Amino acid sequence: MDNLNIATVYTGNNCTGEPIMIPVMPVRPELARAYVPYQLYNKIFSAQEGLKKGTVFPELVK
Amino acid sequence: MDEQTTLLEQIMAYDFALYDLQLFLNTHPSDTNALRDYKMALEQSENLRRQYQSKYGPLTARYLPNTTCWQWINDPWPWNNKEV
Repeated sequence: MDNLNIATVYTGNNCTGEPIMIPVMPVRPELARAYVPYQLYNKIFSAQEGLKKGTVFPELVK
Repeated sequence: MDEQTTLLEQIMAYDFALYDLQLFLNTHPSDTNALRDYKMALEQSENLRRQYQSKYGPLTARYLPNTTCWQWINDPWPWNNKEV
């Protein structure tokens, strides 16, 4: 996964407040810390296909 | 598959998609693409429910099309439906 992918998140309710740019994964991960990559939105399955596969996100099908 | 079952499956599919998108939006509240797809799935789910309930009766007791007769207890009850 490309660590340089950047997402924008907001610090306040209703998508207001300070926008913060965060990387999908930490650029310099620390030892003894666990990380979950921040998912970016792509195409999703049709509802019918999603129900069969157990998720609407193609990148989560393993 | 008959039309009733097809409609039910479509409702299940859209409701599942809604729940999956809900989980994504919980952590990505400003994602406009996800929000757009959620809105589209919600409209689909509501349309399908409307279609199903007008033809085959209530999916939940909150559906109240007729104020002179309570339809929720109409036959067949789920465990009496031979089709399933």
